[in-house]
Order: sequence, then structure tokens, then C-alpha cells
Amino acid sequence: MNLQLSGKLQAPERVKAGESFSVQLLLRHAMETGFISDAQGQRQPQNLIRKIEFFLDDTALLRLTPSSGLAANPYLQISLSIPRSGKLICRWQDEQGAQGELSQKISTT
Amino acid sequence: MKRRLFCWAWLLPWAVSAQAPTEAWTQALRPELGLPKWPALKHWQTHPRLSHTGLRLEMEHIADNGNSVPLRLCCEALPAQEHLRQLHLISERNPRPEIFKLEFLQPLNTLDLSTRIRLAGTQNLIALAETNQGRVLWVSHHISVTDSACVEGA
Amino acid sequence: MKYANYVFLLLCFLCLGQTRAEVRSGLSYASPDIQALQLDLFRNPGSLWLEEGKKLFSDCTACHQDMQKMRGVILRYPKLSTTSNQHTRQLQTLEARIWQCQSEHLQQKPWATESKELLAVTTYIAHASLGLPIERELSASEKPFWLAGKGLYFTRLGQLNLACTHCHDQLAGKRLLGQTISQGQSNGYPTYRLEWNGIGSLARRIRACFQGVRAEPPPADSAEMANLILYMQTRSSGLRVETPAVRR
Repeated sequence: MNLQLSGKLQAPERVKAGESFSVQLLLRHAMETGFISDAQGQRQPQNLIRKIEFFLDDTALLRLTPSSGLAANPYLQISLSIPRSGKLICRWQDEQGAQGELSQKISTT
Repeated sequence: MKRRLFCWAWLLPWAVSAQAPTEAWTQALRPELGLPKWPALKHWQTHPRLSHTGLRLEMEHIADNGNSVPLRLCCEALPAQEHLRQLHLISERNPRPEIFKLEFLQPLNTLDLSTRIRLAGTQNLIALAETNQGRVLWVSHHISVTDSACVEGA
Repeated sequence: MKYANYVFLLLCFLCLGQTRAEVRSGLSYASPDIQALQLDLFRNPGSLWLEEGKKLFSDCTACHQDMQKMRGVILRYPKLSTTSNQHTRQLQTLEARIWQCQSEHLQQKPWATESKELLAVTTYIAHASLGLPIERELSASEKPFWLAGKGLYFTRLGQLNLACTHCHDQLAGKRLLGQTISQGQSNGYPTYRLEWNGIGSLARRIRACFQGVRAEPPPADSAEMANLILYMQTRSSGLRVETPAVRR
């Protein structure tokens, strides 16, 4: 299974090397906790995004490991700094194997 | 002697109430008492270098809806050579206490993070940041989660 | 004479009491966090449905190339269907119009009510009118539907024996448990509700109100629902389209 999940990534195109800038991420995901039953009393199976990773080209920068405590349609804004130009990549994966990737080129001055 | 005992008897109800266990989640934590004894904090409980400075957790004191509560976590610039390794957000009452773990795989010496979390009711939250120098910065916040009157299927 | 004067004054007073306060969007009752979340179109989680709606709408571009022409469309719904027979003309919601397009022009199976595709496309179409003021002129043939909707709005229902008007006209602005009762305006639908963890239609919200007063809710695609939505549309006159709005 390799479903594409939708989402949005926002980062500046130009930054100063080593200076921090802000990255925003918004993903479409129900973050099913496994505790909720529907109107028919059926338990919705747990399905959470368990890994969100940020890379600069192939260098891993950050790894977020959420539990059911992260709100549905997860939103994240975080400050990052990078030493050189490159492609900022964000990858994530849920427990049923669906995954997604968003990226943006950032050049340093 | 009897009279003296009588003099202090009026304090009895107060003494009893001070000794009675309070419902933890109705009260904000007192940082000067150190980390609370939550099972989820066991790992850090006896850490020798806990520090209640440097990390900031910005949140409202009342949330409209526990489904999506905004928060912001900031860390002042750390001294040279010191940077963050990991950040944990721990909830007092959620069925899964650790809301998230964030690992810094490249040295970052400042932090500014905003996100939205789920909260199973009014409670305390604790954020902990581990640095490469072996320090653990922590901060707590008490938040009341209100209920909506008109919920679907009610 | 004196007596008549008193009666006149009393009548004036009663009339004043009956006029509704100025229309207020649900946004004005929301917390600062929710207001900020709605207004920032990157953070607004409803924007995820917009992107999906845009993708799905590409099927519709054979007829509707110009998205500019979709601006204002949501303000005209629900409207009378374009069926030629005068006697079977019925009030059609935007959803019902999309189903008609799907079966007549696209040879597609119509999407289910409240399905993620239908919500995405209705959100996308409604968002095209963002910021437009709601002004609804009723034609003579629409009037009976509007009257039926208005009748439902003022009818006591359910075990709690309440009509829409009791909460949303007479008690708007007052507190009910931890929340402020809004005027129940429809200008932000489809809306992202934190309670739903997603986007939902106005019909879904109305059904929840019916359940709230312990009444049997009309089906989302029923004539009663369309009539009520038409009445609510005229009630929101002067407010601006906010789709996708965010509420608690």
C-alpha cells in the first residue's frame, strides 16, 4: 500500500545560512485514536501518523513521533536553520502504510 | 492542658483539609516541588540536572475544545556548545501520556514550535527538553478544557 | 384617549422587543484562536478540502472553465430546479445541483451526502464567493418554499419542545454550558468544526440541532432541509461568505 496523503508545506525560498527561519506544515489526516466508536457502535481502528521527518537533501534534520495526542489534520510550525542551499523534504507515514512527501528548494545567501 | 487543646481545636478542620489528597488535575503544579510523580515521567524523576528555566510553554488557560488545542514551545538561545537533543510533551490525563517526541538530528540551539494537540479534559502538561550537555529543561502548564453544549449525537 | 396612548406605547415597545439585533457571524462569537485559525488560509484546516475540491472540479471544467463565473454561485442556492414542468419544480441545494451535473453531464455515480468528495467540491465552489455579501431576492415562485422553511424555523420540536428561534434569535449571545449561543448563521458553510475534526455541511449542523432538542432530523437531501436552508440564507442577509469557516 502506498497511498499519497495530501498536505501543505510552506518555507521561505531564500534564507541566510545558519539563521533560523520558520517552516509550516499542515497534513490531511484523521489521526484515528482507536478509542472512538461510530454511530453504529463500531470501533474505528487506530491509525495515526507515527513519524514526520524533515530532511535537507539526504541529511535528516528532525524527527517527530506523535501519539494520538496530536490533533487531527496535524499542524506544525517550527524554526529551522540550514548551513547550505538544498531541498527541504518532509516525509510522513501512518500506521496503515500510507505515506506522503512534500519538498521545497531553499537557497542560502 | 485541657484548655490549651481546646484553644487549638478550631484549627482541626484546616489541618484535615491540608492533609487530604487533592484532585491533582484541578490544580496547577508547583514547580518548586520538582517533577510530579506521574508514571510517564519516571525516566526523568531522578535526573540530577533538571532545570526549570529556559523552556517556555505558551498556551491559553482555557481551551474551547479538547480536539484541537493550540500551543507554542520556545527555548531561549542555549550557551555555546549546548544544543537540544530531544523534546517531549507529556500529558497528565490523556490515555497516551506522551503527546509527541521530537528528535533533533542536527544541532539546533534555539527552538520555536507551534502545533495543535488533543487533550482529554482539564489537566497539566509538562514539556521536557534534553540537551547534549546532559541538562533537562522542563516547564508545566495548567489548562482547563471546556465542553460544548451542543455536540453531535448528544 | 389617555388609554389609547398607553396601548400605542405598549405596542411600540413590544415591536421593538421583537426586532432582532444586528446579524452577527458565528466568527464574532469564536475565541481569538479560532478567529485567527479561520483567517490564516495556510493554517485553516478547511484549506485541505479546498485543494481536494480544486482537483475534483477539473472534471467540471468542460462546462465551467472560468472560475470567476463561479463567484457568487453559492449565494443563489438553494434555488428552483430547471425542470420544465412547473408542477414538479423543486428547491435544489448546491449538492443536489452537483448530483444533477454528475448524472446528466458526467455520467458519474452521484457522490453520497456528506462524502469527502461532495464536501470538497461544495467547499471549493462556496469559497469562490469568499467575502461576497449575502443578499437574496426571492422570486414569487420561491416564496412558498421560503414560507415553509420559515414555518419550520419557528415550529417547536422534539422532547425539549424548542424551535430554532428560541436559541438563535431570543437567546443568541447568552451562555449555554461552556459556550456562547450564536445566531446560527449559515454564511461559513461548509465549515471546519473542531468537534468534527473535519469539514461538514450546513445540513449536518442542522441535523445536530434537531438531535439536540431530541427531534427526528429531516434527511440531508429532503425538501424540508432545502426549505429551511433557503430561509436561513435570507436570515443571513448582510453577512459575508466565510467558507471555509472554523468553529469550535
